[in-house]
Amino acid sequence: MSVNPAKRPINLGKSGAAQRGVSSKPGMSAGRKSTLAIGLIAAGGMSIFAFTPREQCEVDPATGQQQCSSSRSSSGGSSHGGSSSSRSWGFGSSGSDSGSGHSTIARGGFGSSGGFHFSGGG
Amino acid sequence: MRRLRIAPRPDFAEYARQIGFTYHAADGQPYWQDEAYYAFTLDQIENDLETPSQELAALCLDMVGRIVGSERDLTRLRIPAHAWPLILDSWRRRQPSLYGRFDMVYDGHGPARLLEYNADTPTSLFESAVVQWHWLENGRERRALPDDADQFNSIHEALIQRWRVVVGAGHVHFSCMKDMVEDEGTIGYLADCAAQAGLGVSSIYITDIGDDGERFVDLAEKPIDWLFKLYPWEWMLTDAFGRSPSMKTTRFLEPPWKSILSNKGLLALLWEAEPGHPNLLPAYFADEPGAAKLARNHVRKPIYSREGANIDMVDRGRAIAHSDGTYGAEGFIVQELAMPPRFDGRYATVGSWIVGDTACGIGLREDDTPIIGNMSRFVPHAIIG
Repeated sequence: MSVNPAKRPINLGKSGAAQRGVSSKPGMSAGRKSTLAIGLIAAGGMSIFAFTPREQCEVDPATGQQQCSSSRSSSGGSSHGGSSSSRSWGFGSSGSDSGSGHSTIARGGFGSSGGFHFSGGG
Repeated sequence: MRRLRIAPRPDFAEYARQIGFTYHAADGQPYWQDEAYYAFTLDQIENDLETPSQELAALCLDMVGRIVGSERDLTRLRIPAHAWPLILDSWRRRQPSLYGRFDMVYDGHGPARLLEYNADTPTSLFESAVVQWHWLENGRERRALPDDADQFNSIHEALIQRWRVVVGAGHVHFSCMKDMVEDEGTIGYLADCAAQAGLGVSSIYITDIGDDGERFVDLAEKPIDWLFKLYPWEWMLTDAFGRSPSMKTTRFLEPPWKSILSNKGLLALLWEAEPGHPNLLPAYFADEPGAAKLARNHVRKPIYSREGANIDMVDRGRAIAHSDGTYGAEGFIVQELAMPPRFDGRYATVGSWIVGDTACGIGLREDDTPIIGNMSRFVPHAIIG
């Protein structure tokens, strides 16, 4: 245990440490609004955590700000400008699995084990 | 350590909706408990939970160094041989870890003892890092908690900082299984932390990941440089892509060497290496002679398992609890029975969060049975006094 409060990794203790914790959290919220929230609300997202697949954020190198976009199309390949794959491993349900066949991208090679279980988290 | 009642927030559901806490009630059952909390003393937090967690994290890293070069131990962990070079290489390159969670049994007295290490795909993260902290702030504001009530929780700040250290600059793809609300919430939150660290982020379902033979790619066929996968290593390694050359060109979080620590066999190897450690419970591989020592008092756990599935508890030779599930094909370990303490008739366990190599917060889960599973409820905590 770090006895020096300045080295503590946690928001512990009485007045000093607690204040440090309190002051840091509003910044957390503000930071979040400046990142995903703007992009997703603009894209029609309902929640700051509506981070569903096919949404994307990038850092603008000029401003350092996050720019987010969202595509809710079910045809993943075409909506992102990518070509379609020519083969599937069986469990992949991507919209890009069926298409023109120009690409040699294989999909569905991850996920088969998960199909037998409840969740990937724990 | 006490379980105390507190007036629930009448607007909790609206609050949860606003922050995207979409899984606060699962299948009609409340997952988040807003009408109770666990109170700890500062001494309990610092000496019984934080310090042991820190020490266990260091011990686990030592164990990886011992195990990763041992074909015998890798075999005992049932890690497929084709994956050994990948795991060893990730360790030798010191590929960094993002986070993990120790699940511990602790009753407020004596040492906390390790039940297992969720080193690969831990969830309950968002509620530990954010929802719990908001609960504390709200409780203080409405005078339901003392003004000086505090919390062992710098998880959020630690995650943002860790993303800066681990990736620095670039783009991270976040992946999980489809139609798993909690998993999507977890990767959404982690992506948010990464974005706040200045990284580019996007998400892709695990089944949508593509392989061009040299690199894993997203749906736009953009190479995946960094992949955060809420999808266990033991599944990754046995899936079709698990033998792809692309496994060597993508950086994973958690890194491949974490497959050693997320394996329940680690508990047996830890005890073998550090018998009598105050924060460990005796544990053995079920098919090895040592298991006989625990014949009358043990918990049997699959080597690969999640969310409290396929657990059997035996107390003085009598089966006292059992959970169903889909795990166990690879074998089991047995661990000395350590019953979680009961508060108000509920069994409680402590999840202790490690970000990088630092213990930085806890979250508690409680259940009507001594087996903590995917439906076990989350209860916030505070440091009082």
